[in-house]
Amino acid sequence: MIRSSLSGRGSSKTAAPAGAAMRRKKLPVYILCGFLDSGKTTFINHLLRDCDLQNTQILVLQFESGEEELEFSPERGGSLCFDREDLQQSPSQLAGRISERLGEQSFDEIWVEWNGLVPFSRLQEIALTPALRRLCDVEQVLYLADGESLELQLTQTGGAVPEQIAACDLAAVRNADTPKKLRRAKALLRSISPGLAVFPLEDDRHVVNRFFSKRSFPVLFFCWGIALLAAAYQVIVKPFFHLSGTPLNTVAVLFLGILLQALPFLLIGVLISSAIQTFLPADAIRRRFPKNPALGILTAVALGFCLPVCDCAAVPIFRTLVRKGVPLPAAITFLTVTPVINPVVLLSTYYAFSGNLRAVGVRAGLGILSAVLIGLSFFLHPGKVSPLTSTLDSTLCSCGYSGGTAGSRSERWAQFFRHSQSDFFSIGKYLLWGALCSSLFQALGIGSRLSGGKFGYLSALLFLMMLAFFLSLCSSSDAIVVSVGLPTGAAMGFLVFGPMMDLKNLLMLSGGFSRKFVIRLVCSTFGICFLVVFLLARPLLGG
Amino acid sequence: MGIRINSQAALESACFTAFGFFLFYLVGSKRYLNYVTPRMVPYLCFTAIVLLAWAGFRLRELFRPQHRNRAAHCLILIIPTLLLLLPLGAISSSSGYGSTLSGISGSGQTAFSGTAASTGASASSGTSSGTNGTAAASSQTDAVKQSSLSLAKDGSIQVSDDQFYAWLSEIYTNMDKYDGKTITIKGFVYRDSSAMQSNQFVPARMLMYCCAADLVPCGMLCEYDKVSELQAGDWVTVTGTIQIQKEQGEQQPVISVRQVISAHPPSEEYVYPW
Repeated sequence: MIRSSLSGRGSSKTAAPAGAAMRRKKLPVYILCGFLDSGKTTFINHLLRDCDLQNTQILVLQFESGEEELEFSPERGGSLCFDREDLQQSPSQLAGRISERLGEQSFDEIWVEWNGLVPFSRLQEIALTPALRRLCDVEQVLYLADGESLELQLTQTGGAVPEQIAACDLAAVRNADTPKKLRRAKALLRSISPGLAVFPLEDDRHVVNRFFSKRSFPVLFFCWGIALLAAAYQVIVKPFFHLSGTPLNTVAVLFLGILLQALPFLLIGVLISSAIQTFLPADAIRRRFPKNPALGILTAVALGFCLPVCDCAAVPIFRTLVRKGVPLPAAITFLTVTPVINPVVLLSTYYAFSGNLRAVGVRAGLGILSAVLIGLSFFLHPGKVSPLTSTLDSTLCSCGYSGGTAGSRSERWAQFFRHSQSDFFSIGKYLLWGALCSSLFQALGIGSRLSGGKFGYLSALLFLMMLAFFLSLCSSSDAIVVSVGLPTGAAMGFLVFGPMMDLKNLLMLSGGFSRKFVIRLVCSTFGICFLVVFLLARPLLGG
Repeated sequence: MGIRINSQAALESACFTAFGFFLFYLVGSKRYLNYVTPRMVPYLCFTAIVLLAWAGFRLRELFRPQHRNRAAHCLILIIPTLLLLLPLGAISSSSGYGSTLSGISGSGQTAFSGTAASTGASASSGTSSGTNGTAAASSQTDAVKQSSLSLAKDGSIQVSDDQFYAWLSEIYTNMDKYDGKTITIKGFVYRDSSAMQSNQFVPARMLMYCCAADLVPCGMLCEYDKVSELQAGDWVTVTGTIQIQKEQGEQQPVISVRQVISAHPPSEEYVYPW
């Protein structure tokens, strides 16, 4: 059955005499990675047995000798084994041995079974030595993962496993017989290598077809795409359409406005969180942070006041705090309180309400109260689900490098840069979506259409809170927007809830936190802010 | 094949560099004023510097090839850069977008297409007191600080393009001082039928507090018999007398209009309060 399903593979190959082809064309190299006992040799045996290989001559390079023996008949080609001592040799020595073997006999393909405990970069060094670079090209790298032990391997076996996963083109998962297990494995693998193609191992056809395909060149593809887009714009759009005055213009300007205003703050947040991640010892924060929940929440409020950053910056710092083991209630208090009580926000509120200190005080007070209550709600009902998408986030960061390890100063800086860039890309994506959604929301005038009717206090408050969520305004400007012509009491809902949680934050949080946790956080924040403002704002302000 | 390079590092480095330099260009050419306020300049420069540093750092890995390269994540930097290259115009309140919160139902109207500029008589010479547009923003912020507002020789108020907001806050704070004074002020015709009477309009400018997402029209209320002849969104120069009246329960300065003439839009369409 498998043979028939895989028969497409052999026929696509040219039947040209191998010896002649070798001089002109480089040999394709297909690499198999995976932890010990992940079934690499079994998989190779399966390929050898069930694929229609016709006259293909294969050189199998084994850098690991497991329990399973390679079932390889001489007419298929040849094989070369390296044991652990061999791997101590320099890359050029190893490459020399391989190219020697390639000289003895003519081959069409090279299959590599790489060692599960040695970083992939070692193999790459070998493949990129001048001797081998002339002869062969790495086409595809497959990672064989075990759905059951993957998580354990990732957290307990050092850097080689994530490093290999980050380097591979596709992954096949064994022991993932239920959709839930497969989803879990996918999430784990993709938390290390975003967008990785993951298949269950049973899905033979896909795995084999992908494994034996030509390598893709996404960067080249990307550059061509951009060039084509620019050309199309110059030739087609520019002469015939005028953007100015169209709704598209409005959306684009709003989008860029939100983006240009949020990017610097996102960057500040990413830099601060990366600095915490790389320069502070792994458990320094956990050790120093007060164990007492009440004290912890108070510390979070104090921290929030000290960092003059708005909500875009608070999200990456929050992520790092949670990973570093800060108790969740305190971290959540930090996330929600920072954008409301930072000095810039208070100052702009003071201006917006033309010097009304009472409004400033009420905003800060209600903000702190709500944030503390939100933190407490997570203390009283911690919830069963883990907030982070995978437990390995606590030992590995999204860039696939374990953070906080000892190293020289220049290594630390390199890690800092790498980490901040990877954080920037992973959160920036959501910022872009958030900015797009809220600019569409505003350009379509949904808010103004809804606000036409007359509202009571309760509905005005609810409406303004929803509006704050969708508008995703920066907390340093929102006071000015609602200070005009609105009852101050209801406006407080906008001013307290808006900075804590909005569409943009929600999207940014969903990169790195589980969906259940994010939904819970949004609901708690909304509910608590609503209650606090509803009960206290009018008595305090009388508006 | 010669030397292998790390194409992902090259791409990322190129994107950081492009966006970094582009931010500098935006700041240098004042084009950022369409999107954010002058207050953001230090932040934009900071972002540009960080991005260029990242580009330099990433370049060090150029000759450390990696097997798997990704490219799609660079769209985060490319999309804004490409969008910023488009000839985007300023947002006017009549182009379907208005103050979301002050209850204007401005959606669905025809877009402002600059007809005032083509049909208008060259009447704005009196108002735009020879300011060159590029310096408008910076002098505008200075104007607020130093409040270097002075009356014209004949005792009237000539509001120049770059002192729009400064004059507005000055008149609103010291209302009584300007009661009965003649004022000449330029803005686009803004009408909000739910809040204004049929003989009222505002020669408004869009006010940006933080970024393009919080633009709100601002200006002084005018009373004029022929409001119905005005086309919403057209730029006009209004001359009239300031009178302190009770409007919506508060003492407010209102311009009793003598003359309305078409005008050219100012070089900087938005005003920035700081």
